Amino acid sequence: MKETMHHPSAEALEAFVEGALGAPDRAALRSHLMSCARCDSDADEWRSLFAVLRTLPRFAPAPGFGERVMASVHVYRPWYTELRGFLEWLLPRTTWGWATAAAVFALPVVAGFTLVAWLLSKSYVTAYGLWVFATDRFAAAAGKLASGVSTRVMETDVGVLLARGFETASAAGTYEIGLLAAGATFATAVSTWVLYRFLFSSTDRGSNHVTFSF
Amino acid sequence: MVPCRGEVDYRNLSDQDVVEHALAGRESAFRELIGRYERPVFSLIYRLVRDRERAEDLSQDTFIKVLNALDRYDPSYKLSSWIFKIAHNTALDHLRRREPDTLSLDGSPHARTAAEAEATSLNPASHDESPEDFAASRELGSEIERAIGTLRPEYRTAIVLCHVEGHAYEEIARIMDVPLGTVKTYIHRARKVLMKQLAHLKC
Repeated sequence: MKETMHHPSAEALEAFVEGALGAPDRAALRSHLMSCARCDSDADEWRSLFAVLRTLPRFAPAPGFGERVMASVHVYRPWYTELRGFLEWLLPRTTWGWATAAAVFALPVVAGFTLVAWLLSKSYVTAYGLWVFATDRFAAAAGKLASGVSTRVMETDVGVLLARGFETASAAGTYEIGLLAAGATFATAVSTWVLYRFLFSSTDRGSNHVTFSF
Repeated sequence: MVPCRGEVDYRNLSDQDVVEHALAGRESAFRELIGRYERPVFSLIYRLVRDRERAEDLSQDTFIKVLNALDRYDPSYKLSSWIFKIAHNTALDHLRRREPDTLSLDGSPHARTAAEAEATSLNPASHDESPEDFAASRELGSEIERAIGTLRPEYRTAIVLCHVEGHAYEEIARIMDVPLGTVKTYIHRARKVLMKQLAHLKC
């Protein structure tokens, strides 16, 4: 009696060559291939095709492709990166830069000391008199400025809001004020952490960051 | 949060990490992403439109779309899948807009002279293999490229993603936005066509 042979489908042979069959199916098919020349030949065809497909190369675009793309790309920069970049732009980057900046900031101090020394060299100027004159003038100017600012602030919505806040706080009991203080402390702590984390904990500069040095 | 101290060495970073650097506003991260994917994306689009100049334009469009929409990228997706999805759709949109084209390795059918045909022919000059390997496989490579050129665009994408990029079927299904069974059918049919086309190469 002639034995009936069940040949695997093309899909099964393809999956076998691709290595996509489970262990039992793979073993059964391998065993079949050893006894069936026709299926073995079909499997060879699949192997040849897979071998050819493995030779497919990747092609490269023309040189300068990346530059052409970047010319049309908007580099998204979050606010904290922008702010950090601005602060870093303000800071000198070299020793000479720091020295020059220090000199510029020291100039008014040196000029002030020189002026005081020159005034004290005059016989009609005493140190106490100069101190009283300076503090009087300073107190008058500061009082005028504070009065102007507070008037301006109170004219705004922020001023009204602050005034009402203070009124509410003074009318409230200790428990409410404590809650308010805890909330304000928490908000301050979070703000400080965010500022530190995003602005000051990193020294990295992006490649598109504009640097400035003396 | 992106760790950022000094110049960033992207070589050991995952795609996800590079994206984070890009989202932090670092231009070098954008360039890194282009460097990682320019060849895979260009190769896929080139094989779909079979015209180098158009493939460059479409690849450029793909990267512009990808990089400008990076803040909307869903990290639960593989970045490569997202990029290939955009590349595939960009190329298909282009193919749908223009007349059916059977441009082959011999050059554009619109070419009026031999020189134009030569200029628009598929030129596998830039190659990942060594010059020796390239020389040895050039003839067979040309044959396979011709055969791939006869496939439907969907089949071409599936074959390229499977055999050139090494993506799993599930990933290809996500990229092409079709069911897994459809991808298996595409690839099986494409291979059958290729086998038939390449039968004459057998000894």
